[in-house]
Amino acid sequence: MIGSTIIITMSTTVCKFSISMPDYIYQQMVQLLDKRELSRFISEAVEEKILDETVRNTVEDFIALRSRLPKVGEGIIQEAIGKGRI
Amino acid sequence: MKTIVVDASLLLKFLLDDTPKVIEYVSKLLRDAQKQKISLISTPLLSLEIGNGLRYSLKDRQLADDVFEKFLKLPIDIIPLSPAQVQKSLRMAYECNASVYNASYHILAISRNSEFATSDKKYFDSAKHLRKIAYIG
Repeated sequence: MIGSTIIITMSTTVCKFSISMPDYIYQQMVQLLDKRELSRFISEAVEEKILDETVRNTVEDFIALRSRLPKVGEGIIQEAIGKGRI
Repeated sequence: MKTIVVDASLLLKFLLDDTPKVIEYVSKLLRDAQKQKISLISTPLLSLEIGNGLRYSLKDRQLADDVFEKFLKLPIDIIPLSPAQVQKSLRMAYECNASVYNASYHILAISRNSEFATSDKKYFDSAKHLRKIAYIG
C-alpha cells in the first residue's frame, strides 16, 4: 500500500493535516509504535529535520559571506578586536 | 565528542583574510559542528569581540550588521566562565604577559580538556607552553 494517509494532531497548536508516505515506512512505524504514539513520533522526527536544515543553512550562509567581504589582513583584524579597550 | 574552543581572531581571519589554511580549517570546523561530529564552544566574550572587530574593520554598516546576524546563528555554544576560571584567567594573563581576554578562552579549553583554536599568533607564542592551544594561520 503506497501513500498511507494518517492524521497528525499537535496538541500545542491543534494543527491537523494529512500526509502520505511510502508503505514500507508506514509499516515499520506501526510495528515499532502504538498508533497513539504516531503523531508525537512524526512531530519529533520532522522537528529534528527542520533544526538540522536551519543549522546547515546558517553555516553555509556564514561561509558564503567571505566572498562579499573586503580582505583587510591580520594586523587590522587584531587591532580591531581590541580597539577601544583601555 | 571532540570539543574546540574558538575565538574572535579565528572567525574574523576566516572572514576578512585570505589565508587558505584558515579558510579550510574554519569551513570544516563549522560543517563538522553542524553535523554534530564536534562541539564548538566559546566564552561570552566571543560575540563582543566579533562585534568590535567588525565595527573597526568594515565601513559598510549594513554589511557588518548582516555578518553579525549570521555569526550569532552559528552552532557555537557560549559557556560562562566560573569565578574560579575568571580568577585563573588573570593569573594566566600575568604568567603569559597577555590579556585576560585571550587567557579566558584558553582557560575554558583547559578546563574542558579541549583545544583552543586561535589565529592570534602573539598570544599563541606567549601561551603555547601551557598546551591545549593550536595556532591556525
